[in-house]
Amino acid sequence: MTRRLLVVALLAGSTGLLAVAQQPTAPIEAPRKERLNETATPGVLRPPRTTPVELPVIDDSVAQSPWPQDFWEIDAATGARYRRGQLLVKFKEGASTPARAQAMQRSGTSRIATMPLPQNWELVATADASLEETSAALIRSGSVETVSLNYEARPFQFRPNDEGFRLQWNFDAIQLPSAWQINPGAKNDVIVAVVDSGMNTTGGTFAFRNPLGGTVSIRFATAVDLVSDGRIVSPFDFVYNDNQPLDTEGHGTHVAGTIGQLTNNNIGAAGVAYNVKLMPLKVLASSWDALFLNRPVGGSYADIAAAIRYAADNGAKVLNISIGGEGAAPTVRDALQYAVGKGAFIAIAAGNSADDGNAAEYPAFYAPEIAGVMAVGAVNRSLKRAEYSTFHDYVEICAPGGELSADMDFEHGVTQVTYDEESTLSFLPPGTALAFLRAGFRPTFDRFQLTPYQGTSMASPHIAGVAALLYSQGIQSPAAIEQAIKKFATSIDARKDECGAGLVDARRAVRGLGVSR
Amino acid sequence: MTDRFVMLTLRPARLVMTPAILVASILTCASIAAAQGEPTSSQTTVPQPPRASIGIQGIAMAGVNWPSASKSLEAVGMHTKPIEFGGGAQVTNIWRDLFAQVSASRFSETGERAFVDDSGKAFPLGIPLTVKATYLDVSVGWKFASSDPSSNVLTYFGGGAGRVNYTESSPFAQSGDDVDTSTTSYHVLVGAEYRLLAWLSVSGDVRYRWVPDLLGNGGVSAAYGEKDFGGFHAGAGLRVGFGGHRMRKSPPPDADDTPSNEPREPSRLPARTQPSDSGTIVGSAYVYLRPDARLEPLRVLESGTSVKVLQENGDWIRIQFSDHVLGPRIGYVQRQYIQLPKEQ
Repeated sequence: MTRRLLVVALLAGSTGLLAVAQQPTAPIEAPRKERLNETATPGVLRPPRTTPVELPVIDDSVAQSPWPQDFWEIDAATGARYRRGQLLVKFKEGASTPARAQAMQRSGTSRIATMPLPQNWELVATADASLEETSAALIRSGSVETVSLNYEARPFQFRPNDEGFRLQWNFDAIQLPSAWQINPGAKNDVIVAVVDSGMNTTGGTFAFRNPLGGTVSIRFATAVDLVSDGRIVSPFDFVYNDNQPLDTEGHGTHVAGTIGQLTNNNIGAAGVAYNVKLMPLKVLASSWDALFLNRPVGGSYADIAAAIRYAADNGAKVLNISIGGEGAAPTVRDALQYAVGKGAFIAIAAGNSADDGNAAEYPAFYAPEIAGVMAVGAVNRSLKRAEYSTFHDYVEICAPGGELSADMDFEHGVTQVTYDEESTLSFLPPGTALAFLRAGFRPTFDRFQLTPYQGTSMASPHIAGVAALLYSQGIQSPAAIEQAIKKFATSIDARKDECGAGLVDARRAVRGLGVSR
Repeated sequence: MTDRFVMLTLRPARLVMTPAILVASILTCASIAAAQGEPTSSQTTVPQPPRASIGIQGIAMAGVNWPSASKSLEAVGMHTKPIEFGGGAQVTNIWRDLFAQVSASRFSETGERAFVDDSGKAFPLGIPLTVKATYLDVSVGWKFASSDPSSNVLTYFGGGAGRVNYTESSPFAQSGDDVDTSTTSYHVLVGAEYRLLAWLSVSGDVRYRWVPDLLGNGGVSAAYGEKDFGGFHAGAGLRVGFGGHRMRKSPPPDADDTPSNEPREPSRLPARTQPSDSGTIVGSAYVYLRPDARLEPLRVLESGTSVKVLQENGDWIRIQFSDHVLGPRIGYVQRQYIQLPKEQ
């Protein structure tokens, strides 16, 4: 679980890393990674893994429908679902109670007690006979005017059919399904940059430098449910200095999924702004990258600042930065101001240090002084500040970040599609990873599954997604986007330094204002 | 024009008070106007010219609004000068030239929901927004006939109060999102009416309406600090009815025998000395263009004014008098208001 306190935690222990990053760097050796296989292998979305990494089994009560499997039948004519074994019967005007009883008896039905129905309607239970036969028997009785199936009624609300959506309590918490009715996933002309650990925009086998000598071949697959034709814009890898920001950790893939996972396609989970274009920018090195490049895990402010500027220069209108560190970051602050000046809104994770000294995290610390940049804290499923979520005056808004009570705790984590960690072991520290490499283990980055994470890293992309909705709806000023998110936030049981304006409310934000309300 | 409305809205405290004061002022003015024409006891001794009886008019109206909440309407993409349609009924000559009117009007505008940032810039969000306002106004006022007896024009002013029903609706609304509320309004109006036929008139008026605190508690109106949903309205109407188109002035009360230094009615002429063939006005007398008391009087001559008697014609005497504006002028006075030379 702790390893999922994400890259903020990775960076939190990387003071030395930052120091290294500020030293003159050696010229980059090319190629840092080399494609061996041009075939873009499709990623495989696997069911949530249980063993052998001793991850807990999914709680079935959460993962499955609350109703029994045989609760509904499908109407072959319309495809609509109706309640198995029930009929709505309208008796003729004046049909006596004995006549009704006789009709039900002869058709093998019995009255189901309900609140009174209008105009001679009754809800009846059927026995084993088919509904067609029962309906015919009821009509033949002479006391029944008409018979109808008891169809399923659903809220007038867009509920995506992605299999993981049922686990995404975080979207209901910010009224996102209602917001989608108004603004279904933003328009595809909005570019959202994800400054993180990367995202597989392509697949294939790549050769990396083997710290034990020679090269090592690593298999990648295109990120499942994230990449489609024309969706990826100007990807860049600031770690390897190329345009293939392969994710060897999984954090960036998870974050990008919350922002823009393809939605309502029966695959994976849903994303807040599922129509936007994505610009994955890799600035974080995983344990594997650290081994392959002989460098520390994590990122540097120089790369983050360069990525922010790169995003703004290449048309990104929303940036998500779910990373940070404890050292002051004036370079990043200037980059933030540069990007906002180019019309980009930026969401930054506030940090996960609350239960570890609660140190201020950068660059989130700069958010209040730049209109159009927001520092995002995290709430748990009870909509209270998550225990890890850093609380400081710079926190301006909250969004769901989850709070895991165990690994694979779908009930309390923020669920998205990312790697099956069994195949990546990216949570291992570099030394251990090297031992695995020596033993012949080769990580693969082609197996995906729904995975619950926690962290302000998970909260921030909610804000970035809502910002993308607002941008596509016409609020194209970063400062105005920030004001709108704050204005329409929901007040929750949290102090101002915990959640700022409160919990983001996507529906209220995209609905805006009338004349008097 | 818009700036002026804004200026008004920036003074909510004054606006709240002003309607009641203005309506009261109008009613007071109407009373004073009535009192000026009220007969004295001496008039009971002289014949009264005919007066128009109580009349009823039906009114169909259309007009343009200039709402004081123009910034709010503009922010949501609505016309800042919405068209308003309505109708009503007016009872005239209730007491002298007093009229009462009940009218209802309505406008409906569709724009889109918006967000307003701290600088006041509006960002339309593409969600349809429909605002409907229905006004029910009850007015009282006073009508004034033209001094030109051949004129078919009446002017009027008045004021009153009413109710405004205001609704605001959008798609995707949840419980409590849409607005449907009613509140009290106040208004003053001034206008003119032109008679086309005995039963048909056209009219035009300008009114200012206050609808305090209907707005400003939320929405874009809160962002702009616009609390009042009132504003100017200019409209035209078609009036169909009977009676009350034209008011006939009563003979003036007997004037003081002693000339007063105080100015009286502007059209009254001071007494002047005339040649020996002149007659002398007794009491205050209306001078008519023709010997017909139903006409609008040309002037009022003070008691003691000498006039030149030109002709006697039964109950009417044709005279020449000195008009302080037009110079020598000829008209008719009723016999009982003039002492002829032979009687002096």
